[in-house]
Amino acid sequence: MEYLSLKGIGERFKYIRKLNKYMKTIKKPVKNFPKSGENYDFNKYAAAFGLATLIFLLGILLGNYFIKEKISTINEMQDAVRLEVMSMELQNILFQERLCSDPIIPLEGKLEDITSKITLMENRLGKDNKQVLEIKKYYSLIEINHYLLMKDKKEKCELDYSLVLFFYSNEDNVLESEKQGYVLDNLKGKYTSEKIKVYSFDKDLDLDIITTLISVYNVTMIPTMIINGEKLEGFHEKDEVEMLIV
Amino acid sequence: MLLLSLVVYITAYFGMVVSSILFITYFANRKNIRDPIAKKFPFVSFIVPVYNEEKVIVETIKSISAINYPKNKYEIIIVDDGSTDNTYKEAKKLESAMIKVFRKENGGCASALNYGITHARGELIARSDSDTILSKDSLIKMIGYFEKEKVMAVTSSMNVKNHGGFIQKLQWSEYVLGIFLRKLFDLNNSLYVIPGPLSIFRKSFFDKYGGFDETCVTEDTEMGMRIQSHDYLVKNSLNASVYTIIPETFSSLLKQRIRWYTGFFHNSCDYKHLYNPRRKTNLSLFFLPAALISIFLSFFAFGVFAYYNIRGIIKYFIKLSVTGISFDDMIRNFSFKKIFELFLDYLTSPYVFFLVFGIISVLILILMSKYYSREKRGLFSTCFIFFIVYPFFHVFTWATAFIYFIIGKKQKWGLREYRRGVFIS
Repeated sequence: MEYLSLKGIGERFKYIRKLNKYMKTIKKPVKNFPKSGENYDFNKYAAAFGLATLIFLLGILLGNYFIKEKISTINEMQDAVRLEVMSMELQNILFQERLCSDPIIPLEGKLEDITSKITLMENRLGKDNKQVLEIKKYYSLIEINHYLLMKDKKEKCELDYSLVLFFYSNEDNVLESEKQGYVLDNLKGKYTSEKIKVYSFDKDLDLDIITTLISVYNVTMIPTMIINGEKLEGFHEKDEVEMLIV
Repeated sequence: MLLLSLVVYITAYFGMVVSSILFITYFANRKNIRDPIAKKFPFVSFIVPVYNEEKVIVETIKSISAINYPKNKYEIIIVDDGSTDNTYKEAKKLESAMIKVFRKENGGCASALNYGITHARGELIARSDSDTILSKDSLIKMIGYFEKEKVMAVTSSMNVKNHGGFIQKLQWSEYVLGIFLRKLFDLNNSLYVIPGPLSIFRKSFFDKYGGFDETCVTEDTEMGMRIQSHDYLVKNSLNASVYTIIPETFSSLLKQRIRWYTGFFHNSCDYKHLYNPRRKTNLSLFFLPAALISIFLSFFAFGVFAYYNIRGIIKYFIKLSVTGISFDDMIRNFSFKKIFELFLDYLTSPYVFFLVFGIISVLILILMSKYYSREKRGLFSTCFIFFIVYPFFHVFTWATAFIYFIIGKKQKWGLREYRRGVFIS
């Protein structure tokens, strides 16, 4: 070490002082204002804020445009569903005449399509949105219509598929409802619509026909499933439901 | 939903103001972005603090000896900070009139640098790290700046040597981005970090205001802020490329970042007068406050983002808990139509413009850096990793550093690690 090789206390002391000069004398000024403001250019900041505001407004305008586009697609969807309900009623009458001879199940595909659209709308606009609730009412009507037709067909033509009515709520016992919904979705995917048909109803939807349905099946709990006329209250595991269906 | 919109709009506007200022800075100064040509060649003392670097020390010394600069105009001072391996012996073998090797007790990077300064005879002090390779013309590109009296330090254009793995790729983009960003900071006289791999100082500054702060874990930021607070200039050279080795494991990277970032908070406290807008410099009016604001905005934005996404993730786990994990089910649910619809849904979200704007701004900075530093390696994969993973990493490290700073946890140096890197806030 260099320090040890130095001879005499005087030399060592000098060396330490030399080192200390760099170690101990760090000067941190508490307040030091530069005399001139030469570094700072007001115009640059004004221009930058102006430019930023311009781009920002452009972004907001674009965002608004996208929102408007989305709302208009939803409106179109709503109109399409309205039309569907009407044609459904007519088809219902037509099908009554040759119920068993026709293998085609009316509007099955459409029903699936509308379900996924409603889920998308719920995600985008929120579950309490007025438009979403409105379209759900229409959808519930189609469902009941379809359910009655399929029930009729099953009895008259002696077909082997399960009909499931599922009552849920977005207000109370949400978690159980959600879980039961996942189970039914899963089974629907597994057995396809030839084997199982699920009709879901939001109990809180302000619709007379649902209230009637609830009183007909005496639904007092959420979630409740009616599988081929048999009532299941509360959440039921996948295996349990599967046993009843197959 | 309202909270989400508010956070998105505030973050976006802030980002736009920052980009606009950088953009205007570039266009106002695009003619004098190149380095001034050196007319005088003052004597330069390289100081390289080393600790247990027996494998690389010879290469480091050779790299510095090979630079383009009059041979009688520079010296290399190797300060062995009490290594326990053969670093000292290896370095001693190369000792000559130009290369001096010293040994002292272990005391940290700053103390080794200060030790070196006491033995330096140069008018300028160049600090370099043992894991840095200098390009041949790096020194000569930087020297020209010192012809201005007020310039006290010049930084280099710092790039990455080991860019191979995932952890390195995560950082590489940030280093590349930093090359041009540092120049833009310099053009606003707002450079406040003088990173280790290669930077040159005027020795008279040390004589007058003291050496590196040995009590501080980020002596590079401390020195930058000290020079700024004495109203001197720190410049940056875009063409003086140096290549440094960056951490290759997640834990070492994390340690390094947390050390830098807590250091930044501590330095900010020590030099809080630099934040005073009455100083009327770009640094005080905009760049330092913006650095702090960006940190807290990123926390806020990330919090809101996490809140909305974590709900979705929890729902997915609830679903798995009732249906079980089934591969068939996943295949059944997978369809390109669904993915396309989801993609379209994101694309037409009202916030997508801001996201695209942000990504493009950062990409422009990276491309500018690539152009000016003549980087030849492909940057696609590192950019990809950067945009997807880096935001999480950034928030995580800054948040940890902030918590450490608040509870006053002491940052340990561990074994002396002289690795330094770019510092962007």
